[in-house]
Amino acid sequence: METNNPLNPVRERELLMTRRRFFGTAAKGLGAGFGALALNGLLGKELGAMASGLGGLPELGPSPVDAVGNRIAGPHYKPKAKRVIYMHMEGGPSQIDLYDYKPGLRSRFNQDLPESVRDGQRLTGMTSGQARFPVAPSIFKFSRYRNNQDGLWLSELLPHTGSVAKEICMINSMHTEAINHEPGITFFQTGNQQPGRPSFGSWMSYGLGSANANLPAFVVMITQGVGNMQALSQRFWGSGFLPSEHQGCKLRSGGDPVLYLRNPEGVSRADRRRMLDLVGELNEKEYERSFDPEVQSRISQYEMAYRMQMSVPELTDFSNEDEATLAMYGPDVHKPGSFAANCLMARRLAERGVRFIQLYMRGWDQHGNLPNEIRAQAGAVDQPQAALIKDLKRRGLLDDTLVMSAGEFGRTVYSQGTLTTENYGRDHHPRCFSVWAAGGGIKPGITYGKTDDFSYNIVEDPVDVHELHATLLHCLGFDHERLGYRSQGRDMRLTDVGGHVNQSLLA
Amino acid sequence: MDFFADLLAVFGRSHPLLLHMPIGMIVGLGLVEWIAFKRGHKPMARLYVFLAACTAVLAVASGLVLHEEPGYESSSVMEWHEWLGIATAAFACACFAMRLVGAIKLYRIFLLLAVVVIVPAGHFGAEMTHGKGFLWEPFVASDEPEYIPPVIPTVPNNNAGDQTPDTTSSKTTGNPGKPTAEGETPQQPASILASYEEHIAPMFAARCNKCHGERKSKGDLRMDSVEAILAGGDGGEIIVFGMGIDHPEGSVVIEESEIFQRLILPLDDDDHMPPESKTQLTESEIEFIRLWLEAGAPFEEPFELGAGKQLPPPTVKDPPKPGKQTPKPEQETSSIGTQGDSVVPAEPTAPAPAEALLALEAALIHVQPVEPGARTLWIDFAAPAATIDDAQVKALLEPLQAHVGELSVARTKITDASMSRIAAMPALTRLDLRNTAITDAGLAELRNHQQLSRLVLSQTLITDEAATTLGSLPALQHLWVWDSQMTADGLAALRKSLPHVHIDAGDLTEVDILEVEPDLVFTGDAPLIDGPADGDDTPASTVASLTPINTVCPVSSQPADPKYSVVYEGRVIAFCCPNCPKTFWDNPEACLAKLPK
Repeated sequence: METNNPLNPVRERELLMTRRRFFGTAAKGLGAGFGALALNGLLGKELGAMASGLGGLPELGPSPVDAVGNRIAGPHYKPKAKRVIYMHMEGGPSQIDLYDYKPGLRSRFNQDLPESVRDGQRLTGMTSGQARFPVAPSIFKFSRYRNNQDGLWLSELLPHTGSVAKEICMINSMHTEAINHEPGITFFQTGNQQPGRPSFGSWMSYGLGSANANLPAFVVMITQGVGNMQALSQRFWGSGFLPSEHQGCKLRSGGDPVLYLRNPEGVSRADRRRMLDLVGELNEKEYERSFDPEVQSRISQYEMAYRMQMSVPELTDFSNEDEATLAMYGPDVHKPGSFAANCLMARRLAERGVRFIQLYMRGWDQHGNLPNEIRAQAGAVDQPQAALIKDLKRRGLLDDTLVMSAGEFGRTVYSQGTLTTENYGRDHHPRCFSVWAAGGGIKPGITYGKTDDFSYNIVEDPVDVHELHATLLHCLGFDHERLGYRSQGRDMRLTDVGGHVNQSLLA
Repeated sequence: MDFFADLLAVFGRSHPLLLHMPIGMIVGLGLVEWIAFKRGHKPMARLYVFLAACTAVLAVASGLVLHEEPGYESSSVMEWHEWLGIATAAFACACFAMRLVGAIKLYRIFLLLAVVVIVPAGHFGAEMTHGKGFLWEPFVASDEPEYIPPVIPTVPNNNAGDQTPDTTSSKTTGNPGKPTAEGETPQQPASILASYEEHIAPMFAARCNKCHGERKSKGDLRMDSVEAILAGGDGGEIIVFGMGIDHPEGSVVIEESEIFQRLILPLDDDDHMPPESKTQLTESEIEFIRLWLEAGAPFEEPFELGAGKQLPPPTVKDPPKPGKQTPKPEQETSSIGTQGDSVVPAEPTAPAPAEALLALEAALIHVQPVEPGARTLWIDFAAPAATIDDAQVKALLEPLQAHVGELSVARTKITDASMSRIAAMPALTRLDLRNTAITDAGLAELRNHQQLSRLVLSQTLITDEAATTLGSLPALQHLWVWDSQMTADGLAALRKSLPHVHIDAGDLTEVDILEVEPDLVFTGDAPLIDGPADGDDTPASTVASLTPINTVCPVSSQPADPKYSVVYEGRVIAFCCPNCPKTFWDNPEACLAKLPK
């Protein structure tokens, strides 16, 4: 194919390269080689300039680079938290049956939800046709656990979580814009209901960078629930417009934890090294020609995978955990992929410096048969999540690890379908629900925000998703308005155009 | 077509050439006719009048073409120039017409009018090119101080004790590095500070503001105020601030900032600034602007001229033997040992040596400033922990002792032998020794450490004996001793002796229930909040039965499960799965047929 023909796709791509993009990308590539590039930005201005004397170009601006050579943003001020464990309760757990104590509802059993409370607010198509909205009080008994205020109310489903009440910051006044799972999770994960933005973990991979060159900065683990489960898209841990090395790496529970990581039969580690060296050289050549940053992503991903061949087996081997620790996480800890096993894995990842550990617990979408399903769901989650906090705490990790648990929305006070004193269902409810956070930078042992007597509307201190993100970013050393990435002609942020730091939640 | 368009553009651009011809010819004609009139001579030849009129028309035509080019926005000056120019051409043509028909009196009147309008037309044209007040500028007293281009002072590379290099035009403002406790000569050359107000603004005033200022703002750009510089001109912002992966937020994207790129274009490039004919910036001035931009274009704070321009002096890099060549950190710690109250500088006086950082990177050890801009480092051995021993800690951390602010050697194979090295890190605030073989003897090395506030000793071999060392740490706030060899009694004693320290031994996690809800009773007797809508006293809740009316799913005809129920027109309808209700709501009537009455 003649290469001068402008219709040749390769030539076309070259023609599309603008002068500015050329300078922008050329600046990254010059000074070649990982070491020089990495060092150039390693420690910001001062050392970056120094490093440039070692091989980079002095006129290049400082651009922080993390341990594996990825270009990152770097925090804006001293971080309180160095890493995040984010447990997403997929499906929307019922705040009324877990966290938001409404004793007054016991005497309103099967009454109609007052029109003045609902006030014409939208419902999903699953219950909008219901003739009645009968109030379904929780059938679970609540207890008040000592925290650093006047106590934390939790339902009988969460007895172990009660033991870490002094560490938890419970937010009962969370609200979101989405009323369905996909947009709801997308909003929580990316700050926008429409797909396409980078997930929180990707922002943190880009913002904080890797602290362990042997493992990805952003790891995702999924637990299959016992209740009604919705689809869980891969894009929830996608990197959007951020360079693709920032996307989450999913650890599988069975077989190989990471697919395609093992060398095929007959290929030794030395062979693999030689192959990677050659491919790396070729990729460098391609990069010099095209200045496409994705080529560099690919080089760094190959190198990461090579190191992970050694680090992942060590990571997933629980044999050096003592019996007491395993027992603390509960009997499920021996079952790969259970929430208990994933919580233990999360602690192991945290102590190895992985920046963002995302756990998904599926199965909270209880439209019907809620009491039975939530009993099983909470039973799978309660002990492990409490154990995780205790385990982090005693190892000196909780003070710089941010732990949070959130669903994409809550559930309605009225019953979807049949209401009996033993059984009921609940529909999606985005207007108020409960999430909690603990650890690095978060005020421990408090309850924040109030809902009305029906847990339907917020009456005090509402917290929206952007606000939660902004506050968590603050703990991680970022001004949410300054952590941005230019895409589609504007500076995109995790908090989009909203959010503010809620000082009441900060330690 | 393009050729003619280009030709037209060239014609437009020849306006500055063409315009001089009517000025000369018409004014000349006026003078000649004045003299001829006085002396009674015949008027000038028709050919000359014709040529004069032609040049006036050409000048106007080319001017109108030029107006269409970008960069010539309408302004009052331009409008005056345009209309007076057109008037000139009109009068010149009328003049020629009268000359042609022999109406000499009218010819002279139109000639006078042409001369009268061509003078202001030319004047306004000149103001557009040279700026307002250009003509009388020499008469206007200048109150601006004489401008001397700044020179970048040379920074001495070695510590000759020369802290304030003598320079003629740059003011130096001190040394940001803190003096050491001993008051010894700093090993890093003093950095020299410059500021926008003192150095950059006068440069703009002298070299840029004549065309980008109050009188003239070519390209709609003014550079005589901070706001104007930030606002940019026709081509957008002239300083592009970074946001994103290539350029950290707050920095300037120099390769996209025209304020700098235009300076370094080849002199013969049309976009080069200042224009070829004007006084050029010196290399030193350009460097000044570059350093200013590199510092993030600060308008208020000073920026450094000296630091970062050279590698740190070799003395900091690699002290051959600890203790002998007086590496600073060890001296400082020894002074801590003797005088308990001496203040230790938390921030090292020199940046961390590059080779030591490269070595850490090569060993896959995480290193990052404790906070942005800090010289103290967070160093975490997490990645290669299993392979790290005392020798490696020695080799890797020795050159960085002054810089370690937070250190994690958790899960490594280090022993007490490394502890003297760790104790000699004056800026250390957080130390994680978890899951190592550290004993009381090793811990004792940390005695009297002034900065250490967070200390993780979980899963180490320390015993109750550690209490004396721990008691000697004045800054200690948080201590972790879970799964160490400490006894319950020892722990209790430690808590008593260090009441202000938060001690976590993993033992304070028992459930503490304040209150349990009494047995649950469900009633529907609470007073209704909204009265019944239809005035009926019976609450609606008591009317509807919540038992499904069907046992077979009306959508799939499978057995119905009551947990997937909906309420439709007061009746509860059960389905077999959560998907069927969606089908039901699409067309309830169709399904109702399958239901019992």
